[in-house]
Amino acid sequence: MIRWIQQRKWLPEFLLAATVFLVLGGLDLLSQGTIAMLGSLAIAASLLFVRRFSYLTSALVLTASAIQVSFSLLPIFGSFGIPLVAFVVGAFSAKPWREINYVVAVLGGLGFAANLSFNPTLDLAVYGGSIELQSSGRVVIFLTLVTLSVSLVTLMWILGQLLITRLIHVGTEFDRLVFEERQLALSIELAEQSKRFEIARDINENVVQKLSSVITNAEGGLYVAKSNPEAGVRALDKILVSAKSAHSELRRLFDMINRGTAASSTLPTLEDLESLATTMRETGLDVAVSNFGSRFSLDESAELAIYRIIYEALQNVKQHNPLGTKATVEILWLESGLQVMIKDNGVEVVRRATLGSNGLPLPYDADQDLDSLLEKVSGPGLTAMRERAESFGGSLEVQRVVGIGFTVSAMFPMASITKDPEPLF
Amino acid sequence: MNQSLRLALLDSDSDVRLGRRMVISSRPNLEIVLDAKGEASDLSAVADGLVDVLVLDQSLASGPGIAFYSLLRDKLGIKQAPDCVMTTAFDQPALLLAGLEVGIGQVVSIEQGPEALLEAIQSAKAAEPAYSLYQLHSLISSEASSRKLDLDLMKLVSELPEKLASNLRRLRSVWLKANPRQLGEFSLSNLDGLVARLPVRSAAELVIRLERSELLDER
Repeated sequence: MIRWIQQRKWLPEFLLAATVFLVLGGLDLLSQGTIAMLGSLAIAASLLFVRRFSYLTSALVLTASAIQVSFSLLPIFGSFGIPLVAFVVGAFSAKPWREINYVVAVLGGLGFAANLSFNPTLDLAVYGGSIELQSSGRVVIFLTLVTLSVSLVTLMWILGQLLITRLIHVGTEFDRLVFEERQLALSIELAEQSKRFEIARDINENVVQKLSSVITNAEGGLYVAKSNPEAGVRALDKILVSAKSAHSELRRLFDMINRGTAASSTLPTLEDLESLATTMRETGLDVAVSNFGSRFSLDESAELAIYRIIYEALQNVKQHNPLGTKATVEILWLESGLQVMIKDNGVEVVRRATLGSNGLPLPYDADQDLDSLLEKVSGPGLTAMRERAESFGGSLEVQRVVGIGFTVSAMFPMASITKDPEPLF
Repeated sequence: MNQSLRLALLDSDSDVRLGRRMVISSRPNLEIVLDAKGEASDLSAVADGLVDVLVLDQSLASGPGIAFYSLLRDKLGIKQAPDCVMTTAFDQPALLLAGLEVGIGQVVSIEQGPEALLEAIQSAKAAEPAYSLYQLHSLISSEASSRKLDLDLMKLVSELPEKLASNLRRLRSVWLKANPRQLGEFSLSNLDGLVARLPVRSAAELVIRLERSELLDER
């Protein structure tokens, strides 16, 4: 909820203001007519500017009070919106307007109290009663209402601050559960890593011991070989046994370090792109993979490099674009080589989500078009991808497609990536 | 000609011992009278074996080599224990310092090679200290300070006759100035009288234990 509010600029304020206006303004329209409804409109509108242009909140609350006093209205239902204003100001206004708007809300409450207590046209018959108030009685009512309104506004303002502090800095019960679960997972991972480190240390000590044996036997062999060749051969036997033993320890270390990773055994290939696309879709990026042309056999390391370029490009798309972005991977199996293109429409998604004054998505102009032609897109991730492509004689370019998104294009010459240039099918 | 030396060779790894035996056997004046993996029971064998030089590894079957040599010193007495050369896999200043502190004469790593080991064994009984005061100062300065007051040593130092006390004052003066040239020129042989009188095996051990007891810090 709080994230939803924080991520939107005007929608939460608009929904709240509309609700307040429809309820309280409707009651004022029915009870006292259009002028009273305008007071409620001012209170409701003040909620629109709690986060931005906060000075308008002050102005509108004071306007509502002025409307009541100027037109000698009976207390309007819209006044009940003032504590709500104090609550929302406490939660969302930035300093110093949080404090200023609190003071203005208190003044609004005082205005309400004064209007209710001293309004000469006060006629409780409107509300179905017929109580005549004496001046002393009005003072008592005023003081009581002042106390109540100041207390209520202050309470709501503090509650707003407490709520936002709790939501942002403490989190909800759900947040805590998620955090605890994540912490638990990290603890388990840390414990596993610690255990693995302990084993690695033990293995390391064994390897050091074995290599010490290799070295000392080799040294000993050198010393005795001239005078006693048989002793030299025995030393070589010992060296071989110790070296093999050290090798097995290193193998254990290798296996243990790589446990849980697929790096050592199954290298990903371009055949795995569909499952990569599925994984990406499950995590929020819609990916489609297409192949064009006759496929040919790729060198294993080149295929891995191409796979990693595609993977990195898709990760970039996912990282830098909003939900709803689509990406396409196009692999062109050409006679001259292989071309890979990764396209996304992230800019278009953002543009469509941002409406212009005419209610249509923001347009792009010729300058942006020119910029996209001249711009050199760069970054450490792109540099790594480019270096990966160049290591196989290829090239990699990144182009902004104005109004749409980005296209990563990598081209690899046939000779440097193939084992067998003949088409497989 | 080098004097004949009886050696005890201790290492938890029999293959390493075999290699060292081959290296040591290349010197006719070195005789290995005990070859063992350094179990607790080997303590008595070393003590009874009339060993001149103990060559032990930092890693023994009974635990660290330093602890083994400390027990041997307790058993035989500080002055009566054989001279000791400790071997290690790598050069480690902290290990060198710890070894010197318990009276081990030299610490030789595999990185230094077999000639260094042979030289250390040959010079174990030599009068000339293996490390200079400058080296000791650098070694102690490079390691985290760990004070370990030795009340017995402090009492004995306070009771030193004037001649030996003046030697100590000279050492303290050079130590405090920490001038590389002066430290390099100071011969640890000047401390032989102190080494003979105090419960230490070597000048290096004396310097380290004085420093640990803050006896080199007084002005």
